[in-house]
Amino acid sequence: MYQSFIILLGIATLFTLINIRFLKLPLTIGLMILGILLSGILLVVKFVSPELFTGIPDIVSDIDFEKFLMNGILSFLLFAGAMHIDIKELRKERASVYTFAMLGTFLSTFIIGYLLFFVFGLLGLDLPLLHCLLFGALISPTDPIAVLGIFNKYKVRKDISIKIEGESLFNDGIGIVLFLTFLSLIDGNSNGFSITQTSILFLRQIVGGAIFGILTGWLTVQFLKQLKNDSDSSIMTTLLVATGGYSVASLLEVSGPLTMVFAGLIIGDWIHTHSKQHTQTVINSFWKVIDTIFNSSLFVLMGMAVILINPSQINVIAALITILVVLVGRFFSVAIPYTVLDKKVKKFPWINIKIVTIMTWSGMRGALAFALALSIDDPQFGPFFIFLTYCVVAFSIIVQGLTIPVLVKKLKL
Amino acid sequence: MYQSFMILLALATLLTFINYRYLKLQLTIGLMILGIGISVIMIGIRHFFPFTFALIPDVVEKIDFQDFLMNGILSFLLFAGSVHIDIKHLNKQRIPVFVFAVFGTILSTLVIGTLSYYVFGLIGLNIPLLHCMLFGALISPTDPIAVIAIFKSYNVRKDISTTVEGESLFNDGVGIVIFITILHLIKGGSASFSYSETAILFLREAVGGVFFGLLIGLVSLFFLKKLRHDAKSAVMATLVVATGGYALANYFEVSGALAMVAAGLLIGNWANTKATKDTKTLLDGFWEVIDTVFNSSLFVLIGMMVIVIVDPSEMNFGAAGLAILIVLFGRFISVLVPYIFVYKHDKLFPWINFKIVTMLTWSGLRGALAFALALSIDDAYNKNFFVFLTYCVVAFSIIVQGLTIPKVIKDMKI
Repeated sequence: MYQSFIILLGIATLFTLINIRFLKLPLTIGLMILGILLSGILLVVKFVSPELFTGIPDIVSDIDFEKFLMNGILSFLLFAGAMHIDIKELRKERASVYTFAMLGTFLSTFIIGYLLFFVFGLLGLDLPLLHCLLFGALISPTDPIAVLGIFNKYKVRKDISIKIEGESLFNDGIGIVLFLTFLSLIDGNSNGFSITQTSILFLRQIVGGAIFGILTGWLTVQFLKQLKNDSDSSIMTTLLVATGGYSVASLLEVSGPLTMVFAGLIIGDWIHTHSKQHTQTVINSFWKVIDTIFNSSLFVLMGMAVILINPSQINVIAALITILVVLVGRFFSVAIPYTVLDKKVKKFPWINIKIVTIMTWSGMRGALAFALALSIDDPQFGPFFIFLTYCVVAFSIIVQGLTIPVLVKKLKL
Repeated sequence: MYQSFMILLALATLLTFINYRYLKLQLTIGLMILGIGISVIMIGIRHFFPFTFALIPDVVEKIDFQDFLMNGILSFLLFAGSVHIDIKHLNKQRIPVFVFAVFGTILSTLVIGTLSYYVFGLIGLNIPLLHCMLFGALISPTDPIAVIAIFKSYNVRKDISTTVEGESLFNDGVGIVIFITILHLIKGGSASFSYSETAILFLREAVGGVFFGLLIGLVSLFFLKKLRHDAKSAVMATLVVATGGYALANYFEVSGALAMVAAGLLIGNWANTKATKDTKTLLDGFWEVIDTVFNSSLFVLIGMMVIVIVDPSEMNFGAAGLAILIVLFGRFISVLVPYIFVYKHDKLFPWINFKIVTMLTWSGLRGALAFALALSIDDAYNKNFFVFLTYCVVAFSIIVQGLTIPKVIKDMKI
């Protein structure tokens, strides 16, 4: 187990260097491609001479992707992401970020769920509606990491990048809550379904997570004031929030991801405005390093996780349809909130088509979607969803990711 | 499992604060005491209210101390430790360091093993000699972490501190190799004992480890020179060494611990002399943070491990007291004898500087490695007994010796 980690870390670092020197792609894309290649090579070698593998642990199954992300590094990633956000810019886009994260994720879940239900029905694949909605929920949260790397590299307009950045941070938490809600609906389906109970569950997680996060952030800031810029203790405090805060949120059964985002925003804002230059630099570089290492490992692991797909589930047509449906869902879940918010565009089609297009295309899916798919404990549909999710994630990161710069140039944003 | 880590990390951070604000002890000592304190309180609560949740036993059980140290963070700790070492000072002390690390550790193993065989025999505990030797091997490596911090804050003479530091880094690897060799002997039984085979096994692990470390060190230097102006990539390259290098060493069955030290020294030397300012700062900062975070977690975890040994039937405090004395005596001999050979400049009778020998004896703290090795012993070889003894020796050395080292240094005016 620990050995697998060490090896993963070694591979991730090595791949990062290879990418910097030779591939020169945005890091996350390069790492994922190299990860997939590595898995492919390993599969071939294993097929040709199985005895070569004695002594080398099976890293992917040893690490347990789902637990690694959900109980481990998600809190660090979200906390680090929220700390680094420029809160002044975020405040300007506050309304659209919340709308996109809440309304957008909802819309996307239902559009994708219903569309898939009908299209698959036409194909003769009979999936229950609730399962399709479950898939809609897990595939809806966008991944900030992949997008940000690309946006930074190609200098996309600040207001667009902050919208996507903010949205991606918040919709992780909301997507997880939606997913859990549908999961409990599927489980409780036979014993009767109650709307009030479901809404209470949903609200408790989201509102509770936000309140607990704000509370944690506020308490931490009070504590940081006491420390008077001692940089080591300040780092430790932030580390305590990211580890302890997440665990306590799980105990309280409120959303840990939302807790991390709110706490990270408040703490990051205080540090950027109130602490000394030195403390700020030290804290920033610490979280930067954590962020980089975990992200590199995560994307390599994602690439390597291609071997978790059950070959009997491969269905190219279904995969293509799903990719399309997810893009359509994303388009509407961006366009509708945008129409509500942006009153400047008066004439038909009432929206700024350029911005909606770029936001649709840069809505990448990442590790969270895959981890949620892996957590579906259903022998009948689970493996199929794992396959579909992997295709959508890989397509969005590799194909969409590589073509975003072209799109940005074409649209002159 | 991942959750247990989060809890451990959070606890370590919290306890660091408590130490910083209230106890104000040297960090490693404070953390270990607090770890023990928390565990004892938990055991108490569970004793009276069995229905309360089992937070700490859960964490301890899920993390698997031995696996955590040996396959996980040992490579980082040793690499980080040797990257920071000033190689110029070490070079001046290379003979004492080598003699202390290799002959000192072997001598200490033999003295402690033989003595504990006879002493335990006298009090009616019949434990085979080889098992006692196993104990001698696992308890002999000294832990650099606690000592270095203490020395730093008290301005100990540079040659002594470098010797102790260098010795501690190398004797981890040597101790592990001796331990593996003895384990091999026990498994092979008396039937197939062969000096040449044992010697080859030992040399392969030890010499092979050092050579492998130098090799990966040189290879990474080749890349580091190319990455001169890219500080972040340079840090990543060192990370590849600490992770991939250790895994490869294990794969080739040479000592990963020694490989890490050798590679770390080479790379650290490069960073100190030839790297750009940026690279050096980032490299130092990165490994410093890794070192601090892992060490804090490790010492809290050692403290919490008290839970593992709380089994009243296995507790033999008389034996533990004797073991502490035997280990101190073994340390004394294993410092004294190399000292006579290495430092010839003490011409006056009694040819040795007892002040320094006493100090070196008292500052030979035992740490996580000893305990992890004890946990790895097979049940059939008196595991529980040795785990208990090791815990007592480790706890005594860190808490009692660690807290009194400053006083010893002051009294002796070194």
